[in-house]
Amino acid sequence: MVIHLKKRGQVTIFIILAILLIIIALAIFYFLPKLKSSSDLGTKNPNTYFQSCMENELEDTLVTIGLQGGSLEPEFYKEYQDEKIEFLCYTEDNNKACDILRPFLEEHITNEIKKELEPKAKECYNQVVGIYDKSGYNVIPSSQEGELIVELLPGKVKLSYLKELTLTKKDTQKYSSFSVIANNNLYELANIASNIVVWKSIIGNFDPTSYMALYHDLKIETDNPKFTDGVDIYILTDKKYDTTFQFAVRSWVLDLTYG
Amino acid sequence: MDKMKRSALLLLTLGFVLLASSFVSAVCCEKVKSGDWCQDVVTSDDCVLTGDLRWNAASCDKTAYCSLGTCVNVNSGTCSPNTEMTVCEKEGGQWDQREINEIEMCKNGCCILGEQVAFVTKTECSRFATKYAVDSIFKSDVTTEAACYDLSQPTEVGACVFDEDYTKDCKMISKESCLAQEGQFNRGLLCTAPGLSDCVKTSKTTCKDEKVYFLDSCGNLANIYDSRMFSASNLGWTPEMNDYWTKIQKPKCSVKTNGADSCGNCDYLEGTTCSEYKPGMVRPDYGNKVCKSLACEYQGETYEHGESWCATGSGLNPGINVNPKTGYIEGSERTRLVNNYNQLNLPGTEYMKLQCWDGEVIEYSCDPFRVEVCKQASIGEYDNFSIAQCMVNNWKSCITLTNKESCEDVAIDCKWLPGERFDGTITSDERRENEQGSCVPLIAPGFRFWDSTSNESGSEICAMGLSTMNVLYETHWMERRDNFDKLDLDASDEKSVHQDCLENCFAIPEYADDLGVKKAEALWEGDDIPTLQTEEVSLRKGYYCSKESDPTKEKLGTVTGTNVNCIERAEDQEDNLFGGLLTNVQRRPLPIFYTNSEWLGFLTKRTRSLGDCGYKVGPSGDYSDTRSEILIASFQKLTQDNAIKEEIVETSIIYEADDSKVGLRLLDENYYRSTGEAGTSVLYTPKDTSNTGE
Repeated sequence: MVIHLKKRGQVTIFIILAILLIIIALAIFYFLPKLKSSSDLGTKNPNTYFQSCMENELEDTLVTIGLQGGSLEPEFYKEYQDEKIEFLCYTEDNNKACDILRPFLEEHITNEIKKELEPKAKECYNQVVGIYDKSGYNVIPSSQEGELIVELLPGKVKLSYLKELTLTKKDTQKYSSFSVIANNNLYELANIASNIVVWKSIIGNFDPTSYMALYHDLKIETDNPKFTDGVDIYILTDKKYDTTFQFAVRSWVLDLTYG
Repeated sequence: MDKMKRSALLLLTLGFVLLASSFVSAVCCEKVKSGDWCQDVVTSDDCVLTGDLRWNAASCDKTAYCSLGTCVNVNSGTCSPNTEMTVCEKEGGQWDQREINEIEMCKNGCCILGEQVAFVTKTECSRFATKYAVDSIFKSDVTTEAACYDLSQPTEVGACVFDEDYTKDCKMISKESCLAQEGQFNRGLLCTAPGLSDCVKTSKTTCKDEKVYFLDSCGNLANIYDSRMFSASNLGWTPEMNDYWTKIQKPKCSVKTNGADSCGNCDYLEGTTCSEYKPGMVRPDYGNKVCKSLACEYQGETYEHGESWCATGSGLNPGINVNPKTGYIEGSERTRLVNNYNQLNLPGTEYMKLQCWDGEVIEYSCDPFRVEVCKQASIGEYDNFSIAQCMVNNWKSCITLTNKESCEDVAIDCKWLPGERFDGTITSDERRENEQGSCVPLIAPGFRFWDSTSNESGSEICAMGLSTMNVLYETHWMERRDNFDKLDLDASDEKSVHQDCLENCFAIPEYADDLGVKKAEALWEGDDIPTLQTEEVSLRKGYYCSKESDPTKEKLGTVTGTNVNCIERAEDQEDNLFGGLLTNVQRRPLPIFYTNSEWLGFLTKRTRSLGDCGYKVGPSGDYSDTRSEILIASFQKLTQDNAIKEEIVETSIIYEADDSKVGLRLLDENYYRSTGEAGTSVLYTPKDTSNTGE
C-alpha cells in the first residue's frame, strides 16, 4: 500500500521535527556539562584525577631525560641534533679508557624525576583537594609534607605521592598515596647504557649486535656520521615501549699522531 | 787518472712542512668549567671553585680525590669501575681503590626471580626479590649475561580442568595456579586432549614469545602452529595430528624447511618472528599470524637479519674483503689496495658498516680519519651471509718495519715499497731485495691537514715522505759547466750534461725515462746501448768501482760486454804507495733507481700512502694544492774533494703535482736558464712561468 501525503501536511511535519530537534539540542547543550561533571566525580577516584594531572608532565620529563643522557640539565655534555647529551664516561686523553661519570645511572635518573616532579605532585594533590572540596566533600588533607617516590621498573615508571587524604560525603574514604604510571622502559635502557659504559671504560669498545640479539626489542645506534673529536653518541631505542635513551662517551680515541 | 773536476751538486727535495706543538698542564681541577671532573689544566682559573670543589697544584694522577677505583652503592649493590673518588662520593657511593673484580660484593651472578633472570650482584638480587615480592636464587657461578639469560625457564604449564555441572572448562596454567584454583592439573597435556575438556582444536593462531601458536576454542595456547597438524575436514585427521593436539610437544617443523606458510616455529636469530599477516607476506595456510622475515632490502639486494656489510657511496671507501677464517687481507684484495692508492682512502673518505636488523638497515660509521676501516667477509655454507666490522687501522706499526718480509706479513695491513728507506741509508746489494725500501700503510690514514696548529695535522708523518737526493756531476775542467739547464739531450755537441752524471742520476728530470728501467739497468751492468749518445743517460757507466783506500771515491772499472772489472793495477792508484795488484777494490752498490720516472713514482706512492699527504683529490672532487708535491733543486759547486766551492746559488721548484692528476710534471725546461758564463757561478733564474706547458 502506498500512502500519498498532501504537500501542506508534509511541510508541517518537517517544521515540527525541526523545532523538536532544536529543543533537544538546547537541552543537551544546557544540561550535559552538569551531567558530565556529576558523573565524573561518581566514576573518578582521586587517583584518576591525580594521574591525569601528572601524566603529561611525567611523559615530557621521561622523554627529556632519555634524550639528554639521564639528566634534565646536563652539565657536561655534547650537543647532537639540538640536544645536550650528557657524557656518562669521558676521557680527555687519547689512547685511554674513559672514567665513569654516572656510576649509578638508575638512581640518578630516579633523583632527577623526583626533583623535577615533586612540586608538580604537590600541585596536583592540591588540585584534587580543591575538586572534591567544590563537589561538596568534606576534605581532610594531611598536614604532613608529601613525598614523591619514583620507581623505575621494567616497562614502566611508577610515581607514588605519599600524602594522606580523607574524603567524606555519605561515607569516608581514606587515601594514603596517589600513583601515576607511565609505560616507558627507561629502566631497561638505563641499565643497558650502564653496561655499555662499563664496556667502554674497561675495554674501550662495544659490540651492539650481541645486546640486540639478547634484547629483541632493543635497537642500538651511534651518531652518524661520527664526530671527529672522538665522541660517540649512543642511541638506544626500545621498540616495544617507544622509549629512547641517548648518551655521550669519549673513550679510547686513537689519535692521528705518530711517535 | 782523475782529472775531472766536480763542479756542482744538485739537491732535489720533496718537501713538507713540519709543525708540532706541545702542551704542558700544571693544575688538577676537581671540576673544570666545561663540566668534566678531574682534569689537568694550565691554571686554576679553569677550575670551578664554588662550594667544596678543590684544585691541586699537581697532575690529577697524583691527586687523591681524582684517583680511579670502584664506586659501590651499598644500598642497591651496584658497583661501577673506573670511577674517580670525587665523582663516586658526589653520587653517594663508597669509593674503593680496588678493581671491581677484587670486591666480593661487586661480583655479578645470575639472579633467578621466578621466570625472570637478571645478571646482577647478590645485593641487587636480594633487592629485586623484595621489590617484586618473589623468591630469588643467586647463582654466583654464572659469569656471563648470556649464560644467565639461558637460565630463564618458563614455568611448566599443563591442562588445568575445572569440572562444573555440565561443562569442563580448561586453562593452560602452572600446577601451582591450577591447584590454587582447585582445578585438576594434567601435566604434559593440552586442553584439547580427547575427553579432557570442552575445548576443541581450531585453526586460529596467536603470537607468543615471537612464535606462532595454535589456539583452542577456549583461547588456550596449543602447540606451535604447523599446518600439517590441522585439517579442516574431520576425515583428514591422522593419529599423529591428533597426538599433536593431545600432548605438549616440541615443534616438528622449521620455517626454513617447511616455509612460513605452514610453520610457526619462528626463530629470531634465524631471521623470523611472529607477526600479524599483512599483504606482501607469505600467507599462512591457517590463521592470521605468520613468521615474518626480518630480512632487509637495500639497493636492490636482500640481506638476511643479522647480515652486515660495508657501505658504498659518496665519500665512502668500499669495504675491504678479508679471509673469513683469518680476518686477513689477502691475494687480489691486497693487490687492489696496493695498486689503487690514488683512488682509495682519499682525504675526507671514511668507512661505514651497515647491518640488517629486525627488517631495518642500521648504519654504523667507522671512526673517522680511517682510524677504523670496514672489513667484510662472506660466510656460511654457500658464502652467502655477509659479515662486516669496523676494525682499527693499525697503520702506525707499518712505519716502524724496516724489511719487506715483516712488512708484507698478511697479519698486518702494510705494504712494501722498494726504493728509499725512511732513514735514508742504502743497503748492500745482497740485502737490497728485503731491506731497501719503505714500509707504509696499506690503508692510508687521514689527518687534520687543514689545521696546521693541530698535532694531528699529519705534518710529522707526511714529512717522512720527504727525500733529499744528492746528484753528483763530474766535468772535465775544459768542458763547459754551465749547461745543467739542459734537461733534454742536446746531441749536437755530443756531450749532454746527463752523461757527466756520476751519482743518483735518477734524480735528474726525465733521466733514462726514454730508455726504460730494464735497459738502464743493463747499462749499469755493463751493456752498451747502441744509441747511447742520443739517450738521456750518463756515459759514466764505468764508475762501478770504489777505491780501496776510500770506498766513497769512485774508480773506473773496465767494462767488457756485461762484465765490469774492478781490479786495477796498483801503479794506477794515486794513493797506493807500494804498488802491486789491488784485488780488493770493491764494486760500488747499484743505484736504488735507474730512471727518473721510477724515482718519482716511488716518491709519490710513498707520500700518498702515508696518509692525507701529497697531491690528492677529496670527496668533493677538489684536488689539494699542486704544490703539495714539489721538487726543489739547489745547486752547489764543489771542489774535487767534494768540498763546497761556492754556496748554493739558486733554489727553484722544478716539479710540482700534475694538474692531470696522475703524478708529477716537469715544468718547462726553460724554467731554468743559465745566465752565467762557463767557469763562473751558475745562476738559474725562472723564466715567465705563466705559460709553462706539460
